[in-house]
Amino acid sequence: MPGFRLEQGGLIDRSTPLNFRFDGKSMSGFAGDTLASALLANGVQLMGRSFKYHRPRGVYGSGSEEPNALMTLGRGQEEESNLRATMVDLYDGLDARSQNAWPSLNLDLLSANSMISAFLPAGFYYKIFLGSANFWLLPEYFIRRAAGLGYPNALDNEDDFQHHYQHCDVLVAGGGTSGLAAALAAARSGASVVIVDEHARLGGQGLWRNAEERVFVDAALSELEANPKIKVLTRTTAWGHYDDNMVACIQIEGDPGAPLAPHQPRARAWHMRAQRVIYATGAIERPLVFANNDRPGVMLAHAAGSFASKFGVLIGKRILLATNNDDSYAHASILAQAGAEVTLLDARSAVSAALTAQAKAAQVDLRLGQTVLAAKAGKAGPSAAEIGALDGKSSSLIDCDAIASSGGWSPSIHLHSHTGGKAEWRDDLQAFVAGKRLQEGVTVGAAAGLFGAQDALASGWQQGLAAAQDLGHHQASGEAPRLELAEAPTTTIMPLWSCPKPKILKGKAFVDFQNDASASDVAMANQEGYRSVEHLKRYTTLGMGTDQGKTSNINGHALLAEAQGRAIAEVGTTTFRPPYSPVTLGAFGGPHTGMAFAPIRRTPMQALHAAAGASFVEAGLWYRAEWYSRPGEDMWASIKREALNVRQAVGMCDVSTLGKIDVQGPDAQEFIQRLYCNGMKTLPVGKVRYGLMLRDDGMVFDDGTVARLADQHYYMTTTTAKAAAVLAHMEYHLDVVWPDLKVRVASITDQWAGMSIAGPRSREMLQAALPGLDLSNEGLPFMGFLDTELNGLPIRLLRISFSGELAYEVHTPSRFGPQVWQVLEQVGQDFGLMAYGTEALGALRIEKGHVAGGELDGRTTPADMGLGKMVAKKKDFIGRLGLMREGLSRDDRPRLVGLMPADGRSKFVAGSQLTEAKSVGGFGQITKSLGWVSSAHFSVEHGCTIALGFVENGDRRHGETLYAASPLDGLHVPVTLVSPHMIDPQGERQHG
Amino acid sequence: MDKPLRLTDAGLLSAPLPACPGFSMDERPIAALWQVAAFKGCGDSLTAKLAGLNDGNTPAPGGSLASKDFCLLWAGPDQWWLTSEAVSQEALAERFAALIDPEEATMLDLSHARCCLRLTGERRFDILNKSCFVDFLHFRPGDVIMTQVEQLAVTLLAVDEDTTDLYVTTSFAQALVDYFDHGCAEYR
Repeated sequence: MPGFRLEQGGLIDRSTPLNFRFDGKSMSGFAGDTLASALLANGVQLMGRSFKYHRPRGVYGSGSEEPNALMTLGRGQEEESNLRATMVDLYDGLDARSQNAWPSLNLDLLSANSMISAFLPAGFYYKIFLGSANFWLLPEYFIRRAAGLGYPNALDNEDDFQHHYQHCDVLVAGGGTSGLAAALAAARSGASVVIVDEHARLGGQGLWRNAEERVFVDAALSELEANPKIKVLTRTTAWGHYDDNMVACIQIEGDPGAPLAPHQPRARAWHMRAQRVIYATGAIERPLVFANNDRPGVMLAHAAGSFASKFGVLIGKRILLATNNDDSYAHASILAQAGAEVTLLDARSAVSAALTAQAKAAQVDLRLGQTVLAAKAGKAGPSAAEIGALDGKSSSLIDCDAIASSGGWSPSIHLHSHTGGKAEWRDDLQAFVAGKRLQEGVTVGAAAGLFGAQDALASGWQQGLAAAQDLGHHQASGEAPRLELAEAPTTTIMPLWSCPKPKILKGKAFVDFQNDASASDVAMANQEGYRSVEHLKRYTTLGMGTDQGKTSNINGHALLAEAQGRAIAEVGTTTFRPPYSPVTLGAFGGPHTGMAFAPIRRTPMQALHAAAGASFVEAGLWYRAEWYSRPGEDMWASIKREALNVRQAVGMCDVSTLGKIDVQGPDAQEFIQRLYCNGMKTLPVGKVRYGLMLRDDGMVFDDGTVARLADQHYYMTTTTAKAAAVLAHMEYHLDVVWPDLKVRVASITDQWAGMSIAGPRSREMLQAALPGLDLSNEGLPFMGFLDTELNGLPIRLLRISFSGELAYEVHTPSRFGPQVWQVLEQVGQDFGLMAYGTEALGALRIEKGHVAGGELDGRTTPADMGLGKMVAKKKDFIGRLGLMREGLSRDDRPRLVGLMPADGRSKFVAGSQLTEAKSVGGFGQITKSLGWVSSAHFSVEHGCTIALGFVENGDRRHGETLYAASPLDGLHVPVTLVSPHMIDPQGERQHG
Repeated sequence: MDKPLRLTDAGLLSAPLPACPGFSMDERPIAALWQVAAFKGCGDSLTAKLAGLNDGNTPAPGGSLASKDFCLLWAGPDQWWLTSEAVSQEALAERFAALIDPEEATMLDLSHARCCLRLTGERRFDILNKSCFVDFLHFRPGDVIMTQVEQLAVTLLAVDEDTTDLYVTTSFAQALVDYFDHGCAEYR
C-alpha cells in the first residue's frame, strides 16, 4: 500500500493542519511537513515523470539530493517550477503541479518514449548528426517538446530580492550535530559565527536519529539563540565557495509559489566573507543500482527512515530494505518500530553481532548475503521484488509495497571542491573525502567521513575551537560536549554498486534518475571510448540537472571504473562546481531591476523640470530634460518651439550635467598645456578657452572649456558623457606619467549647477537680472567670465555658446541652483524666455556645426572635424606623436560635412552610410561606404532634416550629392554635402 | 534670500527621509566642507600644520578628529576634509587659509558637492550591508571609510556607537535615499 501518516511521532505540529492541492486535488498535511512528506502521507506515490522516457517517478530522497519529485508551485506571477518537493515547507493554500507530463501525470502519452528507449540511448542526438545535420531539424522540435523539466515563468517577476554582505570569523555551513558543535566551540571562544542550514530548522539528523543526540541538539539550539555572537540563518544554502573565503548563500524567505507579504523579499543572496569556513555539510546516501530502481515507492533508506521519524509518515507496510553498510540497520529499526514489516537484505555475508541483535530486537527480518535484483512496480508502487545472492545464480520474488536501498554514503565535499580542493578516495568508507585544500576551509562530521554521532560532534567541536583560536580567540570554551550513547555506531561497508541482473523480472537499472542515464548507458559510453569521468558526464548527462548528480555521480564513476577494470580512485570524480543546488535567478539580480537597475543622477533643477512638464532622457546615469510639453503639443512641436525660441528670443537649458573639474597647483598651467592639443599657455586669468583633448593615439578624446580663475587655478568643463573618463585620464597622467607635477585635480560636477541662457535676447535678459553689471562686449566679451551675485546668491557667468547664438552660462553652487533658475525664469518672462531640453539643444548645435558625442566617437582627429588648425605646432601634448602617424594625416580621411536633403524635405537618420549609388542592401550589391551620418535632427532654420557626417575628402566636396542609406529603416535619401556651419558661418551671432 | 544648507531645504531631496524600527535618517546641514590636499611630497608638512590646530593630532588613515566646531576627516592619502555645521565656509577657510601654503597644498570648496545623511539605530548596518561590503563589526567611533553603497561612492564616518554619517555626492543623494527607503521597507 502507499505511504500513510502514523498515529503519532515525527516533528510535525499536528495541532496545525494545512490544506494544499496537488494537480488540482485537495489534500491536507501539518505544519512542519515538507510537500514530499505531505504527499506521501496522502498516499501519493507518483510525483513526476522522468526527463527523457517519461517513466513514472516518486520521491527518492528527503533533502536537497532529490532527483525526481520536482514540482511547479503557484500561479501567475508567483509560479515557480523545478522545486524539489523535499525542500518545500508545506504552507496553507500551497498549490503544486506535476511537470513534464502530457496530458496528465497519471496518463502521460509521452511515456511511449519508454517503448522506443532502445533508440534513445545516451547521446542519441549526437549520433543523429552523424548522418545529416538536416535530419536533426525534423525531430528536434518534438524531442525538445517531449524532454525537459518545468517551464520558466514568462511573466515579469515583480518579487523583491535582496542582497546582503556579511562578515564573520567563522562560517559554519550546515546545522547538524557537527555544525552545531563547531559553532558553539567557536562562539564560546569569542569568535563571531554565522551558521547556515538549508532546512527550516537546525539539527539535521540529530533531531531524530537518537534521543541522546536530540538532547545535545536542543541544548545547542538554546545556546545559539542566546549568544549574540552567533547569527543563525535557516532555509539558507551555502551554494558556492569562492576566492578569499567568499561563500555565496541563498536564503529562501517567501514560500515558493505563495504571494508575498508587502515588502517581504522572496529570497536573499548572502555574500559571506569568513576568515574560516567549516563545512558541516553532511553526506548524501547513494542508491543501489538494480532493475526498476527508479519506480515510485523505491527510495533511499535514509529517506524512508527520515520520513518516519521526522514527519510521522511510513512509506509502506511491507518494506524491503537492501543495503551494503551498517547505517541501514538504524533505519530498518525505525521503520519496524513504526509498525512496518521490514525485510533487510544485507549484501554482506556476515555482520557484527551488535547489528544482528539490533535487527532482531526491532523484529527486522535480516537476510545476509542477499540483495535486491529488481522491483516489480508500476506507477502505483511496488508489489514485489526479485531478490537473490550476489553471484546472481538464483533468485526469488518477495512481496513488498515499498523498497529502500542504500549503497553507502558520499560526503558532501562540494564547497571544498569549489575552491579547488582535491577529492581523495577512502576504501574503508567507499567514498571520496576532502583532500588537499586551497583555502581556509575544513570538513567536519559526515562531510569528513565521520558518520557516527559522537565522532561528528567531536570533530565539529575540535575544528570550531581550532578556527577560533587560530584567529586569536582564546576565551574559555568549557568542556567538549559528549553524547552518552549506549554503543557507538559502526560504519563498515562492502563495495556494491550494481546488483546482479534479475532472472525473473526485467527493467532498466538507473544510475542518474533525473537524466534517465542507466547502467547500460555508462557501459555503452565506455565502449564508445568515453573513458574519462568528464567525458562520461558530457556524453550521458550523468550528474547534470537540478540535482547535479548528488545521488548518481559516485555510482556512475564506480561503474565506469568497474567496466575499465580500474580502481575508483584511479578513475576519479568530476569536479563539483557552484551552485550546490539551484539558485533562483532573481537572487542574482537582487533589487537592481527596472528603474532600480542603476542609481539615477539628478540635477539640482530636476524637480522644476518635472513640474514644467519635462520628459527625461537617460544621459549616462543622469536624467536630463529632453523637452517640455505644453498642452496640445506633440513631442516634435515642443522641440521645434523650443529651438525656434532660442533662435528668435531666449531659451534656458539645464547644463549641470557637464563635467566640471577643479585644477590647482604651481604646475597647473603646464599640466593644462599638456592636456589639450591647442594652446593654453596664453589663456589669461578671467578668460575661457575652448579645448580639445586627444588620446595617446591622436584621436579626439573629449572637448570642453577651460576658465582660468587664478594663476594656479583652473575651472574645466567636459562633456557629460566623458566627465569621469577625463578625470581618470588626468589622474593617470599625474600619478604615472608626470608625477613630478605639483597639481591636484578633483571633480566639482556636483558642486556647481549650470544653466545656459541662449538667444538674441539673452544679454538683455541677463542685464535685467544683473542691473549693476556691464554685459556689453567690452564688459563681458565672448569667452570671458566673471564671478558675481544674483539676488545675493553667488554665480559664475561665462560667455560661451554651444547653440551658435549670443549665449551665456550661469553656474552657481548646486544648492542654489533651483533658486537661481527660478529668478532667471521670472526675469526672463519679459523677454520671451522658455526652457529648452536636450533635443532642441542637439538641433541647435548641429545647425551651428558644433561637434558632440556623435562626432567624438574615438575615430576622428581634430583635422577630421575641421579643427586641425587648432592643434599647436610648438608644444608637446598628449596625443601629439599619435597624431603624427601617416594614416592620420592622409588627405582622403573622412572630414566633417554638413548634410541636407537634396530635395529639401526628405528625412534621414544618424547612423546612415553615405554612398555614391542608391542601393547598399542585398547580398552581392554592397556598395562602398564613403562615410557616415554622425548626428541628424530637424532644423528650425532650414525647415528640414539636417545632419553632420564624415565623408572622404568631405571638406572639398561641398555641393556633391550622395545617398544617406539606412537599410534597416528602408531609407535611401539623396543628400547634398554642405559646410558644417549651417547657420551663421562667420559667428556673428555668438559674438554679437 | 536664504541660503539652504540642506538639500531637503533646497527642495533637492524628498522628505520625510526613510525610517523603520531600529533605523532613522536625518540630513545634517553642511555649513562648510573644504577638501585639503597636499601635493606629492608635501603630505608630512601639511599633516604637521593641521596637527597644530588639534593639540598636535591629525587623524590617522581611516580616522577622524572632532574639535569644538569642526571635524577633520581623513579623505585619502595626504588628503582631508574639514567639515562644520556651525562655521561658515568662508569663516573656516579664513582659519585655515593661513596654514595652507599654495606651494604645498590646495583647498577646494565641496560644501555643495556633498550631502551628509545621518543614519541612526542598530538596524543601519543591516540596511547598509544590503549593498555595501564593509565589515561594520570593526567600524569604531571616529573611523572613516570610503566605500560604495548601492554602486555609489560614499564616505562613512562612525560618529558614535549608534550613529553613522554618510557623505554622498549631491546628484546621487535622492537615489541613495530611495535605496534606503527600499532597504528598510521590509522592517516596517
